[in-house]
This record gives sequence, C-alpha cells and structure tokens, in this order.
Amino acid sequence: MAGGARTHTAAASVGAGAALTATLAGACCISPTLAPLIVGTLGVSGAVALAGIKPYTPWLLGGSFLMLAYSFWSAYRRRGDCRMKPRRGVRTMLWVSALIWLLAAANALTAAELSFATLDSGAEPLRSAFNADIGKTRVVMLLSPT
Amino acid sequence: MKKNSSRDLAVYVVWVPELGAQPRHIPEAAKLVPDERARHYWDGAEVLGKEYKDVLRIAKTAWDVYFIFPPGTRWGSAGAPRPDFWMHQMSKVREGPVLDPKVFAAEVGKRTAGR
Repeated sequence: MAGGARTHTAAASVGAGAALTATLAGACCISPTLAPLIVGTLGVSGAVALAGIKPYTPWLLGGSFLMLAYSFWSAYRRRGDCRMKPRRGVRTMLWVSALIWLLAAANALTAAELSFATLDSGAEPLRSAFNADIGKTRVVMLLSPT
Repeated sequence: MKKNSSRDLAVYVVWVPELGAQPRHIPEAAKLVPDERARHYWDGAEVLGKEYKDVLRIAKTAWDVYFIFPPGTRWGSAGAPRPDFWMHQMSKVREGPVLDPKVFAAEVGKRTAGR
C-alpha cells in the first residue's frame, strides 16, 4: 500500500507538470499537449492498488493504457496541416507518464499476488470484515497452506 | 463454494503456520480457493487458533477447522463468536464432527438457500 501511495504522489507530480506543460505549449493541435496531461492524471489513477478502487484495477490500467497509446500516436504522428509541433518537454512528460504506468501496472500485479492481510497484531482485520458482512452467512476456515 | 453461488455468503480463509507453513506459501495455496467471495489472512501467531481452542473447549490450538456463522452473528470485543456449526480434521479431537465436505456444503446450502 505504501508503494501505491508513493506511486500516487509521483503520478500527481507528473500530472501537475503535464498541466503546466500543456498550458505553455499553446492551444493549436491540442491533443499532443492534452494527452500527456490526461495520461498524467490517469497515472494518478494508476496507483490502483489503493483499496477503494482496487476492484477497478484492470479497467483503470486498460483505460490509461489506451490513453497512453493515443498520446504517443498524437505526439509522434506526422503533423500535416498543423504547424505546431509538440515541444520536447511534452514528449518527455509522455515518456515519464509511460514509465509511471508501467510501475503502476507492476505494482497492481504484485499486489494481486499478495492480497492477504496479516493478523500479527490481533484479529481485528478479520473481525472488522466479519462484522461488515453481518447480513451474510459466513464461513471461516483455519488452514495450513502447506 | 463452486456449488453455492449465493452472494450472501462470505468466506474467510485464515492461513496458519502449521506444518512449517510460511506466508510465501499462501499465494499458491490460495489458488485452491479462487472464489472472489473469499478473503485471505495470515495468522502467524495463531491468535485465532488459540482463541478457538477456548471457544470450542478443545485441548489443542485449533486449525484445520471449518466454521459456519449465520447472518446476524456479531464478533464483539469479548472474543471470537462460537460457530453455529463446525467441523475439523484434527487428530484426537472429539468435541466436533470430522470434516465431511458434502455435509459441510449442505449445511452452508441450508443457510444460504433462497438468498
């Protein structure tokens, strides 16, 4: 969870940086500048291991991946009629966003492998979950994993 | 669990360090319970097993046990609740029935029928 929070913080910084870059880059051919901003913002959402949105991890990662792909296409395509090229900083921000996406994806996959709580400090995590499901029939098993 | 699709069923799998088990063994073992209604815990100090030793009035730390709690059972601050029904696979424990998966599944089914 701490790793997710760190990613969250880093992604938020990138989002802010992307916003500044987008403002500086100007309005013509908006997608090359706007897309990194969106990806930067979705990079925040890339910290999908955060508990509340964990069930939506695949959707958020998939959505941010599509945005990332679109941003690369926008930033590196031939310009055509548009005279305004994306600034180097925008492309840098895009690559940083891509790196953050990869970190978030790796974090989410790792978290999925280790999605169990420990009762080292007492049974409180289990007790809370148990009582939260008070309207349900509940089965508790104590097992050895070996 | 495969045969019971009720959304009103919650399962808590508490993994314990019996037979030399460690947390690193959990991901592989958890694949045996892939149901999304199941939540997994690691009880390295067997806090729960020791508590259920008293609750069930058995002579050893409880593990390899299977409990059913009906809706409405609250886990208060006084301690873990007594199960409505339980089975086990512990040797020399005669206070409760030895696990029969069919019987256990039927007991769960009775409590979740129509829900």
